[in-house]
Amino acid sequence: MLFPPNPVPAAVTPFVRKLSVLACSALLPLLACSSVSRSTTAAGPWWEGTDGAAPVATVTPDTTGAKTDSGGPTVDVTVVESVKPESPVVRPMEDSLSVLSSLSPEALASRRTAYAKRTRAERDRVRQVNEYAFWCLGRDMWDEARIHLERAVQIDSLAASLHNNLGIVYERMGRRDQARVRYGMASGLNPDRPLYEANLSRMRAALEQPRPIPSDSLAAEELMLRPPRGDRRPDLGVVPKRTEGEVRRELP
Amino acid sequence: MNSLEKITRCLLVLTATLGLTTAATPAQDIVSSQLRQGFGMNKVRYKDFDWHFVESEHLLLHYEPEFADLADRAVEYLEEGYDHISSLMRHELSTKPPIVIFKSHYEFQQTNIIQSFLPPGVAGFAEPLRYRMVIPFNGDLDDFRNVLVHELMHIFQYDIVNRGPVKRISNPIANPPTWIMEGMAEFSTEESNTVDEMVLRDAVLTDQLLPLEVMDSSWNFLPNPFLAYKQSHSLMEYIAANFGPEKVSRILRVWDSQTDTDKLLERLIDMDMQTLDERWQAYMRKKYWPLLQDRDYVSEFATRVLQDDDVYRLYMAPSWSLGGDMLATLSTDGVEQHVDIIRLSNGRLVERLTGSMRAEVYDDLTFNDGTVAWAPNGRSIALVGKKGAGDVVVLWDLYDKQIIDVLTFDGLEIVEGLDWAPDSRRLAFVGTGFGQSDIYVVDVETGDVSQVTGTPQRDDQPDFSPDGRRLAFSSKRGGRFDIKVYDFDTRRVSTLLATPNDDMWPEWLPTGDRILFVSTREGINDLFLYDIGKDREYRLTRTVSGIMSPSLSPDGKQIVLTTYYHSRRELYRMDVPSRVDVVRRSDELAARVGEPAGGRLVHGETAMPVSAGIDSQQAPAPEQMASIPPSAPVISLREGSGIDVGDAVSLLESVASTDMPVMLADVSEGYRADVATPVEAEVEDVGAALRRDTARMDTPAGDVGSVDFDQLPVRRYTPKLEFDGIALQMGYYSGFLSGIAQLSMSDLLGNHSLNMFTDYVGSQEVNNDFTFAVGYTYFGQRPTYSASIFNWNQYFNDTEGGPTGTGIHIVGGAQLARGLIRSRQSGLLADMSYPLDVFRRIELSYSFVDEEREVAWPVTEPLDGFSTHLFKAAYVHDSLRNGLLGPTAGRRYYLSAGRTLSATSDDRTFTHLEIDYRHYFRMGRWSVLSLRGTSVGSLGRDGLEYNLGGPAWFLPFFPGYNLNVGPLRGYPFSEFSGSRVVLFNSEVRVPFIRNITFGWPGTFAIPAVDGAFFFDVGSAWNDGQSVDVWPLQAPEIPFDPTADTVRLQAGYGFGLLVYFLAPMNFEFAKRTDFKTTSEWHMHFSFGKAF
Repeated sequence: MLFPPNPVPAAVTPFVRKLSVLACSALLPLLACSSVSRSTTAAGPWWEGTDGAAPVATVTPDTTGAKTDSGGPTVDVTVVESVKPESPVVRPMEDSLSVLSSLSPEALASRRTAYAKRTRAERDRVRQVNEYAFWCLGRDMWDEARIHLERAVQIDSLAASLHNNLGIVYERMGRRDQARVRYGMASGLNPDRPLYEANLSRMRAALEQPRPIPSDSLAAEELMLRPPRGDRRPDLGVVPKRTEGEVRRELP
Repeated sequence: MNSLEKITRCLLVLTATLGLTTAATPAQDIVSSQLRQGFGMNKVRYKDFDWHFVESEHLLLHYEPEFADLADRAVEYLEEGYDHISSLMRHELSTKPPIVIFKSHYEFQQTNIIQSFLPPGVAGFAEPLRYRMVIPFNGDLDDFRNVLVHELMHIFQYDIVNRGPVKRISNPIANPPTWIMEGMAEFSTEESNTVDEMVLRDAVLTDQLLPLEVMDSSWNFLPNPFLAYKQSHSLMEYIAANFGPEKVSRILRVWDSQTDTDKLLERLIDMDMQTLDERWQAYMRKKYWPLLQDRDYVSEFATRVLQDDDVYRLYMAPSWSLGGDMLATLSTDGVEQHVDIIRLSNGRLVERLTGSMRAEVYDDLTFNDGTVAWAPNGRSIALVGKKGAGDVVVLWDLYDKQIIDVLTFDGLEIVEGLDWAPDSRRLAFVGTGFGQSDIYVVDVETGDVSQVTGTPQRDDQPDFSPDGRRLAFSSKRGGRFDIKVYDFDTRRVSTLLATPNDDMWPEWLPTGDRILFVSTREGINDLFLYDIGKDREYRLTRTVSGIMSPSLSPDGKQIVLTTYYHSRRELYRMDVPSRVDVVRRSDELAARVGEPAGGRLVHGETAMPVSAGIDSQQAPAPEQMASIPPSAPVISLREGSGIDVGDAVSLLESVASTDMPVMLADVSEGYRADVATPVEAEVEDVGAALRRDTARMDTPAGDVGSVDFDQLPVRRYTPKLEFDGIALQMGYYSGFLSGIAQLSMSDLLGNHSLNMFTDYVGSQEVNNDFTFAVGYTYFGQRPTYSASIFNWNQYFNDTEGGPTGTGIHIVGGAQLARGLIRSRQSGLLADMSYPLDVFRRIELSYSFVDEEREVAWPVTEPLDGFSTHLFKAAYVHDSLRNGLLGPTAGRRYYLSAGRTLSATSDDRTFTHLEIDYRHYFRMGRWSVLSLRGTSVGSLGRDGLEYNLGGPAWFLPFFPGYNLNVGPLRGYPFSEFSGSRVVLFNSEVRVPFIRNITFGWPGTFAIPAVDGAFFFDVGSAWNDGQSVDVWPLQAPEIPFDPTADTVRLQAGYGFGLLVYFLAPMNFEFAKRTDFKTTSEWHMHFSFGKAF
């Protein structure tokens, strides 16, 4: 069982089971093939990286704090963040993660206590994001799941399930370092959940192993001095090559 | 429009048919006809219009004072159009045509001038009987003017062809073929935009042109009516260009004496239809094929999103998901419209948002560009649907998969062009109301609406900047779209791009300093990029078809765009170029166009450093980069732009001399300074548009102000009844001479309708008698009221003296028993129908019928007489999608109850209860599973008898009294009768043929042929009998109507449903009790399947 602690509606349960099996089987060969080449070969638009600023959002800390549902005091340390929604590109979360991971056990326990008193709406929000992430994963839309989980975890950085699921997405996309951090966060936020610790342990072990080079990755092609396959865009369809002087008459 | 002509023709034909069938209709039909409940959706009149009219030199314009500014412009456009057409056609209208304008399409749909539903694609119509034109304003004054002129041309055509009111009424149908009529009307507008050109160009380049012979004979069943209009327009331009413009005006005059298209063309231009078609197609190929030398198909640089070759399937208004993996888009498969989420990688449907929203949340989706928008938070999706009198915005939550809110906007009828602000809270849109289209912003949490622009010309396609502080939009000025930017901080509008071409669909890049847009440089929509900081633009595409409504992915790296290919709108996805896109010509191709070998076309600019990872060998050489292709756009400046041609050339040269190989119009500061003058635009309330000072409005193209609207006499509209048509018929039938006359009258707006019907019947055997019916209907308000009085005499033979109301056949039927019977009915009928919405209505009616029967021949002898006071109420729901051969989706049902009141013992007394429920489940594209259950009971002393058996609609072939409830195939028509009926039908209909055209004999089309498999079960019985549900009646046992117990009868079989002029059904059925079956029985009937 890879997936999360939040209650899953009965109608979703069979789907989650099926998805879990698929994810397990997919994770075994380290899940690196197509997604690695996708992230390394995708060229940005011509305007990017020129004199134009890269489309990176500014992340500003939100100091409004998280309140308990009973109107209790604001938690002492707040890492809840909001990202300016104008950009879909979300900055990695290492900054906030380092804050969390540096907390003392008491502070972390205090946060967990406060977090346990979340409002119903806040709980629902986490559940909704997780369910939507399942929905995306069931359709192999990893980027879609990732970006929603990343946004959700910025709003609610104490939700262990979000961290765990984001770790799974990262792992599937080949970002194993980020996955390990997320598993670690999930485990730290909810140590009573063995699943999170198991994921973390597995990922640590995997990182210690030398990473096999996928046979069809771009790196392998470069090593073997094969010409790059410029038309290969995994999961995005094949972009037709332009032939010089050719008027393509193919019917769509 | 020709649809109205056909309706008129149908009306006249129907009148004649009624005359025949009425003579054969038995007495009880007047009461029973009041009981028979009909289906159908409602034409809801949401508004009580306040009509005024103004009389100008050549026309009468009807409008409402709330959009007097629009009426002012309409008069100017029409008078200009009149002069133009009059000069072209060398004709003056014999009368001032009454013209009715509406300020939106949804109000236009409420017109009573034509009673049928007007779909969204109808831009207006003109009718030939009274020369009325009805035109809605669609938000664009230029389009409005074109439609006014187009329809005015039709009035000229009617006036020339019909030549006066007598011929108009007596023979309003004999017009030339539709392609000539519409081609002339399009020709008169002298307007063709780039989208029109795109459609025509695509048809030429992909060999999709419609044969002229098919257009001539089968206009109403053409697969692509829009293309047919454009072809007709082009054909007329071809005739004018090659044979002289006077030939266009001569067509109608030649037609008047020669009604064959081939002969008409031979007399006109000395060639037949086929020759004209061949020469025109050759001309079009020569015109467009050279474009292939230096332009690309979109498929060469972009990937088709949906790999679906279904010609009926259409996707538009795409909107990206947050992660860029999905698109939310409008979709239709030719039957239903939905908002779907599709996965980009394979084009598969992953979620249907609107599965059950129709008839619950909205009446229909608004199928325009920009009516679906996915919020930047990735969670909310906004879509537009029509609900009631105007559009609503439905907010759908992706996480909860449910509707979270429905936004309505007072005074705004049409909403489109949705765009979310980055905060996912504000939603910009184009709203059409108050007689103009402007941009508004609504706060979806509070519902507060603010108006951003306020000019009479079209503002369109808003797009929030990445910081949410500016809003780019396209705005029409001088007949062309410019790109402007509204600043929310300063509340001011500034011009970003203003060229002599249309610059549209702005899309901010995530960096916020560049804008992607579509421009019509070289007359074809292509993608460009404008760098605000450098004040420079770059071409991204050079397509042979054209690009519409591009949508940038959230990360700014991909574009989904709409193009036209193989006569279809298609969605394509392309990467934002990671380097300059270069197309090199081969030597052979270059030689063909007279250029030196190695010549090349620059598709964009390479001044910017190229992204890493690009093969350097593919980068163009510097000397090549500076070359500007011969077909590159020439800087042509709008009048008054402050820069002359010499300056433009210098500008190009200076740009070309630098190391920046700009290939397009680089915009100089002087140019910018002139066109970028900010336009004041205060943030206003929606209602402020009503109070808008007309002095603020700018002047649209061609607005010469030749007519002083304020000096024209304005009067309030008062209804006056005028003739719509007269039908006369005389006949001799089995000893009776019948003279039927029908007179239809209505006021100009169609709110009041008066129909009179007389039938003078005489014979040697009986005294002459006079039959008449007068009916009045009021359509002016939401409820429809109607009342009629009648005196109705009918004659029939009394055969075996059976029970009253049965065994009656018309003269010429069976042997006489008592002689010739005359039935006289007189009374009144009053109905009220109140539409709750488009799909639901309540009907109330009261009927009083006094009936007397007597033997009219050979002796005069009174038989009996009785009266009926019947009150009836019904609730009707109908949300069907209809096909040519029957319903294809949805459901319909009604509940009906009637009760007679008996003042005396002679009055009839019965209670009527009826329910009919039908549900249609789609099975694939055109296949449908139809289920129907119905039950009717006429309870009481004088209960009516209903019939069962045979096909659904066989009445034209059945002479006697009949209340057939529905199909029970395998049995003779109306074999069963009883005061109570129960029936269940199931039928699977599958498509065999869609749109097949035959070339012999003559050219004709069969638009649809379906196969059907059905199973029917039902029974009819009377009071005192009982029904055994099981087992079914065995086929070999004859039906005994007097038995104490009746059983259910069942039949099954298959059929062929053919639409040829009208739906025709050939059905083969067997009776069955599930143990044994009968022989095959064949049924033929007209009409759509149930």
